[in-house]
Amino acid sequence: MELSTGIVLAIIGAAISMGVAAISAGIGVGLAGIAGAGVISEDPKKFGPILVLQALPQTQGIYGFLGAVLILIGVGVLGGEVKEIPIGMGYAALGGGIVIGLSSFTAIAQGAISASGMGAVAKRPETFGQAIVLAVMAETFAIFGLLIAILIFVGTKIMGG
Amino acid sequence: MIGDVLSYLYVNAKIMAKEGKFISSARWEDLWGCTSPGEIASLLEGTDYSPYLNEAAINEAKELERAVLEEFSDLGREISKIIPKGAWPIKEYLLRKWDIINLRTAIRGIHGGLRKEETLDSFIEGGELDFNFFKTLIDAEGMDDFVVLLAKTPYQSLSEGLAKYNETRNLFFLESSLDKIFWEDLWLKVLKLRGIKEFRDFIGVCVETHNLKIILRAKDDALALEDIDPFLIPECTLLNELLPAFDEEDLSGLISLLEDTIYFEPLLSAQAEHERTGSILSFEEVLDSLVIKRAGDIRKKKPFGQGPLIGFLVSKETEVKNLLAIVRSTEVDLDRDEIRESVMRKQWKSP
Repeated sequence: MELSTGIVLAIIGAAISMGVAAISAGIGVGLAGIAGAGVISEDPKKFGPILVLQALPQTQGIYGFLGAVLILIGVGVLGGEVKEIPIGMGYAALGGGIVIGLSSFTAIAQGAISASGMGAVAKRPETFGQAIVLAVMAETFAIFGLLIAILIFVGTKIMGG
Repeated sequence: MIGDVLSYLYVNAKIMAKEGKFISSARWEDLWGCTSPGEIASLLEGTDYSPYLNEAAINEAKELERAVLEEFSDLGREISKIIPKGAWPIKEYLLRKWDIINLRTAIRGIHGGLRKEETLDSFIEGGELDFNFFKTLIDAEGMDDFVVLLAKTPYQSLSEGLAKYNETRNLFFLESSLDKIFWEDLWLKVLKLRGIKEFRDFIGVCVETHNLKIILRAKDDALALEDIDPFLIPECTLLNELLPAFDEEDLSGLISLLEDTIYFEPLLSAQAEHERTGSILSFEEVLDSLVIKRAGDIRKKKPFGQGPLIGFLVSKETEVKNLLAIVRSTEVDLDRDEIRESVMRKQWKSP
């Protein structure tokens, strides 16, 4: 089967969306995990709040996965026949993937914030709520990235076309 | 920057969890009301000290003191194992401290003519030297013999203070010599090493306060510069100001020479108490408080990396010192209010 340039570009977009998000989320979760291990080694009872804080940077990975799936469905690579799409639409899909990929870098900062938050929770358990809020702040930019990508997909008929 | 954050992430999270188990302000208040080791031990339940509180510690102040020190020593060893490799001087700082404490115990035992068993019981495991080595030290017949036994250890230069000790029978010379070995060795190492700026800043303040304490004490005791010169740590900029003027200036004159430094205000504030009591301790207390404050400042300035570790180590040491002061106050007839005031002045709450 020969793939058109538009399809190839869309697939690259999906790859960037998932690949970059996976790397970022992995680093973020890793940072939080190292700190979490430090806290749990001292106080295993804090596993619950630590797990919540560690899970926060994972969401960027989910956004990356969602973006990739949307692209792949939109161009028919998943759940149907591969469509013939114009090069312009392929670039749009690539752009959407890049937006999601780049905005997932926030997971690294979120991991660092979560790690610090774990220290704060370990020291003063009552700060759990505040630690979550601080970590979620970094998340907003990843949500904006996903939103822009969806707008691109809708506007260029990759979604709902 | 990222490297610093990463390598200290585990350590800092662990020590913050440990800080969560520090003695709370409310518990300190209760501890001050205690009149027996048993009461103190019951208030230490749920803290990191509780696993160390055996039957003897509940009944006897000396054993309780030992339990507190053992916890502190084990903590040092635990942290020394997880410190990033590049920060090995921090490990040395944590471990060699116990060699110094044990050597000081041995020196005091010999000087005070304590029974060998009594000195042996006071040693705490945890230093760099083999613990069995300390057991051989108690067989020393006198101070000369003791110093001979230290040959081939990092502490062999203690002999520098021995002559002065033999001449005056003043422990100050031996203890200052011991402190000098500890601080000078560490200081010269951290000066050469890159990547441990915060720890270097901290050790720098410790070295300066060590030198200042010796200079002020010497001035107060009307000692000559040549008497204290062997105990001062070199590579310390403060000495350039103070030493040339040491013989001409009196105590307040020396303090005024420190006007552009962080030591001036605290020492000036302690001068009135020194004049009232005649005790050099007022100066030593403000200098100790300054080290604690400095560690707090480093921590605030560098919330990732070595900052939290330095802050933790100093606040833990302060907690132990304060706790020991309370335990000892149950043992001897001292003015508790006075001790309390001194202890609270030194207390530092970690941010």
